[in-house]
Amino acid sequence: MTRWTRLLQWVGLAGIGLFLVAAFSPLPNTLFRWSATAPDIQPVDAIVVLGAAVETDGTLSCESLARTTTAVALYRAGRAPIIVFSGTSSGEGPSEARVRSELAGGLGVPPEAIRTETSALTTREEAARIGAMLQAQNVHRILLVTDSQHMRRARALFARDELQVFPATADARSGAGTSPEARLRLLRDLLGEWLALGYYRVAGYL
Amino acid sequence: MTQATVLILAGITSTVALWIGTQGLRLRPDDLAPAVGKMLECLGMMLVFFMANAVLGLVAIIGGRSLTGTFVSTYAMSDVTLLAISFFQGLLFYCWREAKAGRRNRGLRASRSDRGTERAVIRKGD
Repeated sequence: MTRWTRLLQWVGLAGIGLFLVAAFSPLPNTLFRWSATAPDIQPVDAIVVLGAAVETDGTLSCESLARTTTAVALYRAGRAPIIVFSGTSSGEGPSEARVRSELAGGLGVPPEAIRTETSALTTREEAARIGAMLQAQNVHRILLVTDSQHMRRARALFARDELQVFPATADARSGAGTSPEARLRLLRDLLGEWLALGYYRVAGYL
Repeated sequence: MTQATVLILAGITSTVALWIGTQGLRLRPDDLAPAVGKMLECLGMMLVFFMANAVLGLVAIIGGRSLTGTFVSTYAMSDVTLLAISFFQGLLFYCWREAKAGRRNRGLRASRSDRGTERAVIRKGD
């Protein structure tokens, strides 16, 4: 047996071990709860809803829908006078921000209370562009709406623009999912966000 | 409940496969341990392809953003198809290596058999 064969076998064994632990143990749920940001809902000047995804036919992703409806509920509860929807288009279709603003309008949010940002492609760009937009409108306190894992990175970016940021988490995925597939998805999302957080730190964005 | 169902199903089909292997196909239980080794090797190859694809993809996406300004979302790297394609690549590469090893083994057997025939011919000639 060559050294290469033995190495491959160890990699394979590690893969099976990781798969079994991720799919059949509560480790992903524990990690999800551990790294989630808790909401802190306060009266603010604006609600900022970060982008997720939209299909070319205008269908919002589950994450986008969860964030939008959370923001509308916060607006209707009187937490802020304006909502900022972010989100570009995916190809030929409408922008995510436009689809969200139409949905919010249908749920009773007046057009004059809605702002949109349709060009930012990354969280960093969203923070820079929306931060500039809000400073021009004399906004200092915001409720930031995104999922509980993404919140740590997003909040740090918005706080750099001298905004006081309060987290309003909106998760499309439950951290309590117990099916093997739900746990694997949780772990995938967690690893993705941790990688992004690491990259932002190494690149000096945070 | 889903978890238990999946584990019970896997247990049932594994037991049936063990019975078919030993009773129907006359496979030897002693060969199961080397088979596990081969399975781990194949899986390791698949994971090596997955890691290579993921690392190369991230470097290309981040490098492409800073060098050309072209935006591709890094979320593309978490698409499940990348895992599936990496597994196909790993399986093919593993089978390719195995085909080479099989050919080498066949060649060794053939040369041993030729040498045996030569010796028999020489003895007859004596």
